[in-house]
Amino acid sequence: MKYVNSLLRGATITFGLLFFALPIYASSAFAFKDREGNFSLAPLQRAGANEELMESLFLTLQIAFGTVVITLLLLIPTIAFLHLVLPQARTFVEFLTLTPLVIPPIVQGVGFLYSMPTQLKSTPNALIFAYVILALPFSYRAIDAAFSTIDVKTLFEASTSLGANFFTVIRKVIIPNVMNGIFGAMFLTIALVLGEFAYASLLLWDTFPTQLAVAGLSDANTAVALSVVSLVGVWLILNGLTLFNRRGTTTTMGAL
Amino acid sequence: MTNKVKLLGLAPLIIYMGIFLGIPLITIVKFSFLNTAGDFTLGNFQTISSGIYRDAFILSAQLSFISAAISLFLGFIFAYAIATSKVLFFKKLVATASGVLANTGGVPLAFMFIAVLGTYGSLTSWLKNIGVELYGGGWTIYSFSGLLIVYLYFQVPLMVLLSLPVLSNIKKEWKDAAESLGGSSWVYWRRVLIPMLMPQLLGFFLLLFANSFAAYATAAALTSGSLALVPVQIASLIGSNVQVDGANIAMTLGLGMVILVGLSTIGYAQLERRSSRWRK
Repeated sequence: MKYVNSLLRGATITFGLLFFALPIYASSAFAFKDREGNFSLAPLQRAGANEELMESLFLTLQIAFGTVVITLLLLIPTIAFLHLVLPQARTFVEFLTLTPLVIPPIVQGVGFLYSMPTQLKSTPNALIFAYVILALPFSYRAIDAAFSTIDVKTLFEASTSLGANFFTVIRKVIIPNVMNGIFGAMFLTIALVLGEFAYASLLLWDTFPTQLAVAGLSDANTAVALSVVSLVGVWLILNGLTLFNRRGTTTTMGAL
Repeated sequence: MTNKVKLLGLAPLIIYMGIFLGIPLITIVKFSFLNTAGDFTLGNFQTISSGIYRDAFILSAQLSFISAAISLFLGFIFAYAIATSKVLFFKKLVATASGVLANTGGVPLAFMFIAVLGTYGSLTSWLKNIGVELYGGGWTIYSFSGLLIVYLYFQVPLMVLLSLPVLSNIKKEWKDAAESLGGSSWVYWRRVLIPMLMPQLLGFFLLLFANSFAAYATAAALTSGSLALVPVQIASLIGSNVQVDGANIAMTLGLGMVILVGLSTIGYAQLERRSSRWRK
């Protein structure tokens, strides 16, 4: 019986791994092959020479940076405040930060397009404000989980009794203790910005995903090569982060 | 500090959400009840409940239902195998891979599948060499079933992510108890494990349904809008000026999505609460 079970488990895992690995292998085989069937990095070189694509990548990285900064500025003080002063409101805020999941990005995007002032929409940085909202269900949970593992109140009282003010405590005591949650939130936010398509295409900004979609129409090899590289790259970085961060809050990614 | 003063600490987050989520949502609701001239009308709801827009809802619902059902099954089985396996680093690699696919998937997944199963895709040509002609009978990756395959690649990973924490809560005693009473593995699954997890599994189904219903990037990049799902219709209404009251109809479609996705999510939250109360 035990033998049959482990055989079944092995078969399931093999099937699962093939399920994930096959498309990655097959699309790499498609992208990194020249006409004679030899391995070639030419598609990536073409991507590097494609100015629009490179500009869109820089724009997306810039937007990702802005989104991370605003997310952390907004969430760290709020969550610290919730744990210190108003723990009875945590359930409410947890519910509140889930609401972006109920409104699909494409719908949020249309509402944003028809309600925000033109000055805001005339710069691609408008996307930053929207992406903070899209990432909120995940970023909030990652940071809140890290706060729940430490005794914020005791740390706070100990520091203030030694003469530190609220912001000093946050900066020098609380933040170093919730660093793994902050890393988790940063990573989730960056992953989301790197893949976001609905908002950017509605507001007509050339971010990396929308330019990738355009590139796919003219040069399939380049688009496929970039797709594989971006997915595998994000995965490798994430694994690097979980090695670095032993407590591993990043597994909450994508889950509620 | 009085409670009112305390609430001020939440003001930044609440104001931010009010501006960048509340106002867009109110705009959606308001425009749904107006025509282009700005007069009150219920006509938009009539428009979206017939013809191509009703078909879009049916198509989206079919795709979401089937992809949710398949990924519920495959994701759970796979997560169970991973959770009970003894190789630890494996669990981490699968969890992170699932995270990437479920979150960043979208456009890259679409292109990867064109490379795998497109007309000149690597799997297509390999199958052709062994005598299986995928494109012989009118099938394409750009069809409903093609899109379904690609959807599984962000739906199954999401199910794996949802299941892993649940499976780590399963007590070994359950299985031991079942075995000591003479139950086989099959009996344990059918009579113990599945009934125990039923409320949560139903909740996950609703969440997977909502996730698939809301997805836009994959369909847009893969089919360039030829499969008229609800999000695709919204984007094309906003992008063109052909339809009378186009923007208003787009927002009415959006409101319909919010209601459907909202109901699924509320259902999920209820089931999740019930199962967590019962586990204690």
